[in-house]
Amino acid sequence: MRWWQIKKRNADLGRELQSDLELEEEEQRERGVSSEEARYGAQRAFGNTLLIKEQTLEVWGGLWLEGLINDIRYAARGLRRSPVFTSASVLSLALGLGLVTGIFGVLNAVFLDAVSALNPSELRCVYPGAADVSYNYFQYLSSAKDPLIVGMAAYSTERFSLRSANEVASIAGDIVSSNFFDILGIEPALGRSFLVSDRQGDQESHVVIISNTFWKRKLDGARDVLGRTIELNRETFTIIGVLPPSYRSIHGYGMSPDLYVPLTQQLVGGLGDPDAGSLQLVARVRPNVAARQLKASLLGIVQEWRRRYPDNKRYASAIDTYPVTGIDRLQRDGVPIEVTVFVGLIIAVGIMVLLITCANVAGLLVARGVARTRDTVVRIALGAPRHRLIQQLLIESGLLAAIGGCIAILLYLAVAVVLTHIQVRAAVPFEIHLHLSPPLLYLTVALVAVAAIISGLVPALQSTNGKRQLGSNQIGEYGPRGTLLRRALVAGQFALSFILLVSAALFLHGLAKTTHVDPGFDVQHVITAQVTLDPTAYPPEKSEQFFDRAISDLRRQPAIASVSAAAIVPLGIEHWVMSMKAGDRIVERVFMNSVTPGYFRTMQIPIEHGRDFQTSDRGNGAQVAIVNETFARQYLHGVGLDQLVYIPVPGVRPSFSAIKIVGIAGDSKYGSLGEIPMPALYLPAAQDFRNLTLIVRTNSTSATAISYIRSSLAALDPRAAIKIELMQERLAGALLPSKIASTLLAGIGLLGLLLAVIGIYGVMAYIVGRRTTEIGVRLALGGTRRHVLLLVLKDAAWQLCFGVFAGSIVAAVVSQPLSVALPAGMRVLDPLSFVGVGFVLMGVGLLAAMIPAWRASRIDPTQALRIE
Amino acid sequence: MGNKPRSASVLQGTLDMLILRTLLYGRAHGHEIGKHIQRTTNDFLQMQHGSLYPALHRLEKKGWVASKWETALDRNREFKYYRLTDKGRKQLALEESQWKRMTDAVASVMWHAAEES
Repeated sequence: MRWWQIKKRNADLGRELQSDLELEEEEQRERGVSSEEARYGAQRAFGNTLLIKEQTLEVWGGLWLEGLINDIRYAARGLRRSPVFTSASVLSLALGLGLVTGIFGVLNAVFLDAVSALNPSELRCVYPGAADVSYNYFQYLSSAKDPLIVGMAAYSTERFSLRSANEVASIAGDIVSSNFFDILGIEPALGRSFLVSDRQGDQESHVVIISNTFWKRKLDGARDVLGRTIELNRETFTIIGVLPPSYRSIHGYGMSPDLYVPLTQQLVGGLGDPDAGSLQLVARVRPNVAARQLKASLLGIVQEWRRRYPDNKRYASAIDTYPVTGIDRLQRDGVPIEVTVFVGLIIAVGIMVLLITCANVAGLLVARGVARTRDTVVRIALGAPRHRLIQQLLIESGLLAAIGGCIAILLYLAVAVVLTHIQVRAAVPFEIHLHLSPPLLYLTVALVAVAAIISGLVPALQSTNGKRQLGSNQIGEYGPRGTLLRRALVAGQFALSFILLVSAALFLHGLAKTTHVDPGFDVQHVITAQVTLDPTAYPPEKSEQFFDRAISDLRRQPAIASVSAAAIVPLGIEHWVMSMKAGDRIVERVFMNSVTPGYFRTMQIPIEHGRDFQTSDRGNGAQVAIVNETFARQYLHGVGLDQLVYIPVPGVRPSFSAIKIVGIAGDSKYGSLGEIPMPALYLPAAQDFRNLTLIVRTNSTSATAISYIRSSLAALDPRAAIKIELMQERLAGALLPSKIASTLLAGIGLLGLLLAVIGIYGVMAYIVGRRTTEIGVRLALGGTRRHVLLLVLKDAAWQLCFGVFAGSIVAAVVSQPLSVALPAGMRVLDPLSFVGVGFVLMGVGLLAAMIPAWRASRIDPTQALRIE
Repeated sequence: MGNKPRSASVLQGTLDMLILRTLLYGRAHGHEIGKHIQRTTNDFLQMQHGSLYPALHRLEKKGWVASKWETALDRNREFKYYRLTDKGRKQLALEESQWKRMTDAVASVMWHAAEES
């Protein structure tokens, strides 16, 4: 029923009753009663008109709506009248709700971000066998014209050296087949998409589509950008399009390549080898094709390839497809266990903070309910049904939660605007686009409802308890259920805070431990210089020559103590891990590196036995390697020297090449500072050449050394992209994720603690307020102020003890999964964290209780007794 | 209120029938209906406004009566007059027969019981 209908009916009924009432009055007057008497008589005959009205309207239904609106009005009026209570509750709810909304928003944006595409459900990633797809294989698959597939596109992320006025930068871009954006169904915001004339192999058409961020950052968002050229890998590319700002790449996980160039044979693998390359495939499938159907159909095509080229064993006769986004893809890609644990932890932490805020608001509502006991008792005595009273109190908490939820959403949107403008320069630029998607909005609304019920139901049930009698809240009433409930709520809050802070403390303690871990190599005086050479101009031999010359040039500089180069810089983003055979055992997960002679000297890693690599360890000589102590101890019976290890050689027929160990180096850290000692194996760069990073050890200030490095490398090739970093900076960068994680957790933990402190302050102040008379009597009867102070503090201490005790038990259980994210050798039941957090909580809690306790001890007995 | 001697409140469920029966004579407003029932039963049945108006509106919602603001014949004033609808007429017949069967049944038990004792 519409609101105006109710209003009209209400007015109509009023008129009806009034006219009948007047008639009754007239009739009485006609019988000779005085007019005054007649009016009262008529009213007596009618009885309670208000009640009649209400009962009559109830016939029509929809009364609940009117009641609801009245209750909302009443609640709003009540909230307006106590601004401190309202703002405290609304703010804490907004923080709790905003935190949880934000956490889910960010997780959604990072892990389940939608890929920009038309009907993304029709897109499937195609994954043949285990190998990356070569150019030829992609050509074969896409020209096979599977009837279930509309079209297939390929893409691959590569690094490009971008030359601008005075520097050469290494950036990430995607090489895509010319139909890529057509398959996605995406048009650039400016300019055009790739055409078939930009197709594979055509060397004339060097065109590029750039990302919106690249356009704004590097080209200042110039309107006339189309037709301009940029130099990539020494070639000139014409900009033909700019992607829309909302474009989300097909890679997902916030990865946002700077630019897109059409796939050419030359670009794949950089070598023009049609059988090389590491393409990824995406296909647009006809509507309503089941995954199993598609797989069966593609399998036929794959098997046909095997029949045609029986010698090419690179592709197994298997094929799989999976969605481009969503949970399925996430499962397919796999999430590192550390990330899973952290995500779970962050969600749990957010929910705990929300619970703490609910407990806070519940506590405040209970206090309000007790203060309004008289009001409530009178209402019950006058016949107000209990459900109406509960409804009204729930509406009050619902209103608080709704306002809090609105503020939370505004906060979230503000954060979203800020975050969207931030681009993290990772290997592939990382951008996060926060949205207020409908599911997230529903989640927030659901959370608002849950928060309203959690924070409102208990106080509502408690304060409308029918057992209360009129006048029961008289002199010295202390210890009714309201107080007990508030105590329980505070203890619960402290238990939750304990869990939050222990998790944060574990992470911080772990971080402190890792920061002080000796990485096993020198950090202070080492500078790394990453050189990106254009692959088309530098085939491996030339690249190797470049590094040989760079090393010998730098060695001549007086500021430089030693120079070497390595494929992998330890503790960086890149890892190279292999399994191999040593003796009769398989060694899983060996950290590999390929280094030039002098690497160990430069890094100050001791050679314990044997020798370093020499310039004579070349491609045509005997294959040699150096292992670390852990490798030698665990797999080579501690001897190691002159023994053989067998490294699998990739290729058509898997084989092993035997490598002789010529040296044993000291252990150091490779993947992360927190890892346990891992086996490692070094190959001479001359026998296993890869793209190298120069590693330089200085004996002067790093600034001078850096300028030397820059000028020497520029003299060798002015177009090489160079990225120089101090080893210290790299290390700080490696610690950044765990630093962010720990700080985030600690921040949320402190927020929880703050809320809990407000909670205990509130409950103690409230209890002292209720006990004013009692304390006055105690003081009047000779109790000392010290006694009163201790009385209140003891009271608070019990709640705290209970909270900390319960919290420590729960924390000991729920924090077990954290162990995977902690550094090696650190246990979850870390006594320092548990005891430390316990003390902090007790201390802070007692401090918060100190103010009400002190106030209680200052109570003037005569004043206190006069209040009643 | 209704427990004075020689008076009773309207039996649960019969009020609707009484109102419908009253309206069989023609249109009437709430006050008239109440007065009529009271007067016809020689003040035995006390009409309470608290049940009269909800009952009227209930009947209107069911479509057994219709209401309209009309000027009274004797007074120059508008009242909300209720009228029996066709549906209401059928309903009255139904309730009347049910009531008759009910009273017959009750009476037969009472008669029978009186005879036995």
